[in-house]
Amino acid sequence: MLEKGQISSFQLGILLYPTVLATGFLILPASSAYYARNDFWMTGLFTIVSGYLSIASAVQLHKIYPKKTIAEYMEQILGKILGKLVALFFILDMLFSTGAIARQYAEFVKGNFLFNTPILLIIGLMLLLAAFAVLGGAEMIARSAVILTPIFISPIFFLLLLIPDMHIKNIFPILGHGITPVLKGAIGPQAWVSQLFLMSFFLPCLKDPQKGKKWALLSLAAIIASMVFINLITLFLFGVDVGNKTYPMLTAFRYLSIADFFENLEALLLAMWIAGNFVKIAVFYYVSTYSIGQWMKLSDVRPIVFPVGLLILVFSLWGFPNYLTLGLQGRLVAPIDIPMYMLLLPLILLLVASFRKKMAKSTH
Amino acid sequence: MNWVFWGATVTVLLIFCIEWPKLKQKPFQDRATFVTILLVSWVMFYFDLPHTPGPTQLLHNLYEPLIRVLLEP
Repeated sequence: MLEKGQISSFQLGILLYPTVLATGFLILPASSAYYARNDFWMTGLFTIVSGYLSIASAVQLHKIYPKKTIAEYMEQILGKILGKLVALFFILDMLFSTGAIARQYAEFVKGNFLFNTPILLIIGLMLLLAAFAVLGGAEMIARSAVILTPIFISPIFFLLLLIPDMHIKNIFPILGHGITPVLKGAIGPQAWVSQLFLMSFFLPCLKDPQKGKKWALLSLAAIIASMVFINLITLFLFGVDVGNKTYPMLTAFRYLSIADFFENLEALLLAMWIAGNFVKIAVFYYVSTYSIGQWMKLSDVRPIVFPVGLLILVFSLWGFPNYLTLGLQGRLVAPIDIPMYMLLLPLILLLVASFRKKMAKSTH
Repeated sequence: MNWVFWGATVTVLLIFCIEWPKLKQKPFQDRATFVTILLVSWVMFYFDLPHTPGPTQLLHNLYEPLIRVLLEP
């Protein structure tokens, strides 16, 4: 086994929250409001199915193949050649996703705060920091997540200061256009939530594996609650206009002004979201590095951490000339691409694995 | 002068110089993976990456029927 550190399932639960929501807060409200109009606050509720399925499939697969991760049991389930091939696609997709996440973070920072800084520098520095976290292994990422996640969550509560400016009537008419637009709007959030499958990489290093599912489900509940909360607040504040804003939560923060003294709180929001994005990028970086290590059956992954970082840097630039293309990726490509690898693939693997188990039982 | 490429070259050399002494005693598999990943990323930096069609365009074309059914009105 490549990973020698051990984490607790509580740390796993804490770790998963920013893994889903760090970029989720950035783009999900706008992209779901684009389709669901004033019913977009419901979209968070529809993620429960895909979230539960990805957690359950990760836990079940780990039960059948204990102490192994997806890159390892894929070969046992699908056979040597097909398993290697599918694992390669999985690795490439993970590298691409990590690159896209790093770019999303950098575009947010560059577009709103550091206008003249080269984007390569913003991505590069974040990846360098994440590389040191990955060098420390799962234990280091989990510990930093325990410290940083509370910082990442706190801006949500600042939004309650906007209560005097909220208009409850924006929520009506509820389901005025039927349920179809809501389901369309839920495609983005359900894709993000299916990233919870990444817990499969942390299950082998759990101290108390029997509690892993419980904490992951709690994390899912927290994620859904935060999504609904954020969506409701932005809806009450902006109405259906949310769909036209790039970062609705940032706009809400710009709106905050208490006694003409506490203003420009968006700088605070940036500082807090960097913490969340660091955890998310570190987790994705970790998963890409370790799946390459397990795929090539390396004796140690530490030497390839920096080269993989360079590869992620390539993927964060490749094919993204401007924010427009990145927005296209977030709104049209990612909602289908993420569940393909994080929901559909594990479910197929689980189906084949349980079928194989039954076959083996009947022949004995 | 493509300064991104030269920057990448310096970074690749730096990573190589730092990690190679530790990799010498490691199995062939480790060394091969290390060199391959470094070489691939170094070659990729030679291109004008943002304006080269990449995975986004590939996936968009690949999923186009699904996107049209699920998302586009």
